[in-house]
Amino acid sequence: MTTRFSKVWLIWGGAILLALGAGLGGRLVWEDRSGNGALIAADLGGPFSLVTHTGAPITEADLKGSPSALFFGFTHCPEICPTTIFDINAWLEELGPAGDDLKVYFVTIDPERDPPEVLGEYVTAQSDRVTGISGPPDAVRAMADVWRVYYKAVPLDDGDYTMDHTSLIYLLNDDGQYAELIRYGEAQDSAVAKLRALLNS
Amino acid sequence: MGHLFRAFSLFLLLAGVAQAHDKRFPSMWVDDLLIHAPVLKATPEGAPVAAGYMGIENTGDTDEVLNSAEVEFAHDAQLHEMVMSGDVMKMRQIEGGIQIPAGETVWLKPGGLHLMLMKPSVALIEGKKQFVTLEFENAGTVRLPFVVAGLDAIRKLSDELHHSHDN
Repeated sequence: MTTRFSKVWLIWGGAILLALGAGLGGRLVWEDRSGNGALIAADLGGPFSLVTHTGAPITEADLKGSPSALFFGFTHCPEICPTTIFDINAWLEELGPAGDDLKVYFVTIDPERDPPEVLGEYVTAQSDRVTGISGPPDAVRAMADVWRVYYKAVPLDDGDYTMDHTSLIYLLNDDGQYAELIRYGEAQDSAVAKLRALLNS
Repeated sequence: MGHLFRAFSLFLLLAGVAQAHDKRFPSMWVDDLLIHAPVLKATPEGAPVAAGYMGIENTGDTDEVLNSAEVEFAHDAQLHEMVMSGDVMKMRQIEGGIQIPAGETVWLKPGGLHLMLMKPSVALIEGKKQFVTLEFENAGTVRLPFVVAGLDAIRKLSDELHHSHDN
């Protein structure tokens, strides 16, 4: 009876802790969107096991060793994804050799339509610095979830669909931990300053 | 008198636009509509989507609607709007066409309204032209040349044109 009681307590206690944790995480993200607070490194990221656009396996361990920029998008994206890649190219050009250590990852939030070959064609046509990340849909979505990335399919007239998604670029230090973010449309000076700080840390 | 006044305002308007104008991206008339710098974004072959932009200035006194667009070099052309909701990018298909009230200019430009071209069958190469058919409520159907340009040129262009019209 005592054992059963403590088990029940464990389950309920765990559930309450989880709910508190989720609430806290949500609050932090919300704060950040309102422009007041900052995201906390511990809240973002986690283990994943996916493949790059060349088909090579990639996990969270591969995000260590050099600083990186991580963002989420999809290939059927006419505006924000090509613009983000275009901007990153311009920032890297301004950084010159100082930016050589930066790795750039584009994770698809539309894995069904973006298998590695498709993603590879898309990113390599626009940049020689961006590595696409894809994989089985559930595993890809799990990664988007641990990075608190919002994504939603929106149907179009012709039976096709487009995706709404978070437009942030996360900057990760060489421990693979969240360090800073760059917003969509951020001025080049500000973005380059953040990248410089990341590369010098 | 009315005609003279109208011709004069048009002259002023065109003179203003001409200042900011890049000769590579000419404006053109469609009835009472002045279409500014119709461009397509340079897109590599095999890309699933492409985008088109322009300014539509309604110099007439009747409200206008851009009902639809059509192209031969892509599976489908749709009217879309991108909006940012916090840090989330949302894409919406426009229902009921794009409204262009009399006397106003509506801009299709990066980060907002645009023509969304699904599954283009060719690469869109900078400097080349492609034709887009636009169907307006009043001005009817017209087939216009759109020049292909890089994103940097398109951004510069829409900034310049936009500013020259805000004055």
